[in-house]
Amino acid sequence: MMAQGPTMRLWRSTPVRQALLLVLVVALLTLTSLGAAYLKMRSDTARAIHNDLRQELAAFDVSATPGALATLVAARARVTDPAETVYAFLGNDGRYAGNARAVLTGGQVRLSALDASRPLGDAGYLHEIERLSGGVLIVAESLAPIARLTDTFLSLLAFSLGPTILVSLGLGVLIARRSARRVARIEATLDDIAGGNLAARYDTCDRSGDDISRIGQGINRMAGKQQTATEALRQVTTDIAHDLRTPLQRLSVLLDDLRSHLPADGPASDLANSARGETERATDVFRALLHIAQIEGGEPASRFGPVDLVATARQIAELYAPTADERGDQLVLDLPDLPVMITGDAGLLGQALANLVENALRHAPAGGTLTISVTSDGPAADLTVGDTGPGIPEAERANVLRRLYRLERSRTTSGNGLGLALVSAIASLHEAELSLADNHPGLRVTLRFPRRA
Amino acid sequence: MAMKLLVVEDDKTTADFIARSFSDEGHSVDCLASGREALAQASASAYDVLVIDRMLPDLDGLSLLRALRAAHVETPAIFLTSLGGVDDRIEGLKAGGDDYLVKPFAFGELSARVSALGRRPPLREAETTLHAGDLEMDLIRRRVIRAGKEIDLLPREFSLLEHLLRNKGRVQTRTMLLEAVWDIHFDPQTNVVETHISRLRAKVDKPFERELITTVRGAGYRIAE
Repeated sequence: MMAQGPTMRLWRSTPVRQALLLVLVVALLTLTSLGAAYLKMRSDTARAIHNDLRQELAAFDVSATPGALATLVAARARVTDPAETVYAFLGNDGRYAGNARAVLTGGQVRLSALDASRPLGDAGYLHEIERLSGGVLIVAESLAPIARLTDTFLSLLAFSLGPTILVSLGLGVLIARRSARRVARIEATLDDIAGGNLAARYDTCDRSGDDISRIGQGINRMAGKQQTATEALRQVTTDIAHDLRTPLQRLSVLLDDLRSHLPADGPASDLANSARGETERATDVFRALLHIAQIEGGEPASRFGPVDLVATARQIAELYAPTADERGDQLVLDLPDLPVMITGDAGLLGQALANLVENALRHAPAGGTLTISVTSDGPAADLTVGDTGPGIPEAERANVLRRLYRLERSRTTSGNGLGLALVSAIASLHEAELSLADNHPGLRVTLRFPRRA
Repeated sequence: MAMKLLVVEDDKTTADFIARSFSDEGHSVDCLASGREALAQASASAYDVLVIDRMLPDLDGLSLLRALRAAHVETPAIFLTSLGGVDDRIEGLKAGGDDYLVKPFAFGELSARVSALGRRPPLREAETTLHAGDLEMDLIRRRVIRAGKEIDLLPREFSLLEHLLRNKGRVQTRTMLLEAVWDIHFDPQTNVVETHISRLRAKVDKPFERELITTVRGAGYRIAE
């Protein structure tokens, strides 16, 4: 699991996400209903203003002379605040009357205040224009009622949505905090079990009976079964190991004894030596199988520590350098100057690398090049062994990782057929990706390790 | 040098063979098949080395040695284990064991390891040079001189020779050398140790008349006293 901040963790928790979704839905509903009501009332108000304007205009006599109209308008203008209603008359003879200045340009009316003592409203105006025989009459009414309506609706929105959002979010975070602690404990338990501690359990005092505690109990049941199975397997393994090793030990003891009673050279002694050799081979296969089984059991993961892949590569390369040299092979090390740290078991990693090197030495013809390289790129580190031998056909690559599997052409070479199976088990234990590829020519085996901070 | 050994092993065939082989080498051997008896015996009389099977019918080997160590019996001990587990070595060392050997083993391996435990030379802090015949190793300047001629060794060749010199007169098996010189605790399938030894011999022995590093057949290598 990657490390992450508490904020990120909270954000990713289910209750917080659900609370946010709820808030979103409530907000959308409120917005839609309030919005619809607002639009309806706004158009009603606008229509009412228009009706007012038409009535105002109708009050003026259509047939009056410009002089009479100007007088009428001036009288009305005098008693009317231009911030609410503007009256203006533009006579055909150049007369002007009104409580604000109005300029008519191509059907558009621009209003401005006549003087500072009588300012215009700042909410805008709706106007009506009436062309009369004596001039143009303009009546405009302030849009202040609509602005007030908008303000009302906005505060309504704020007062209804604000608390909803705050309360839902607060509750969501509160619930998330509570369940996050339990989820974290479940996660820790799972990590523990995956790390090889099969005795790890989710606390049994959580008796709330909800989904989280049921998951916890489910994990406990699963871990319990796995622990029982693993312990049974271990017991069987130990029993078999003991029951087989004792006769093998006796066999080798008896053969040693027999050898000491035979003349040093001669067919009888040769037979005893071969028998002793076969006993050792049987032991070797048996030991390797047990070793793989134990690694696959995951127990060594409980004592993982920091390991430098570069140091491991140097150690193994140094060990095999004379052997490679003797064969006329070139051993090339391609290593970075700085350590490349991963989490693991240094002994097992050394053994995995040694097995890969031995494989290359065993299967590639003498006089080739053997390359050990370590590279790291951010979240992963690669340990690679490449040879210039015959390689492994693509169809066979998955098979060679199986226990005791050997390619037809390798039947005659030494080796117990468990080398790559052991490498594969060690790779899984370290959560590393094992890949076999073409080295053009030869085989290239790469172990890709995850790097932990 | 004859040693007094206690072998705690419940398998009679193995125990008899170990006892007989050690007796043939001139050591005196007591054999017990029970952990409880061994606890009493090892506390009561002085032994040079204890050879303890990890699986015993009554008191298992680990508990036996823990009990002995708790009672301040510091006799060097080697575990024989038929478990072959990844953690065997670590568990054995934690319980106070000095070495361990996985069954089945060759007697040569057991003999070499028991000798290494029983005749541990007293630590001489001020030791700065090691000798064998006409060869001298200067540990401070990291130089090796034989018959007045300086021999140029690689760092690992130097460590290998140093280990053989420090255990002069005692057989060092392949696995003992792998553990001590390379810190490797698995069994390589190829003859890596042989190759390193032959490289070392080419420099240390070949140009000279007398051979210092000798092969002990079926066991390992030794530098004579």
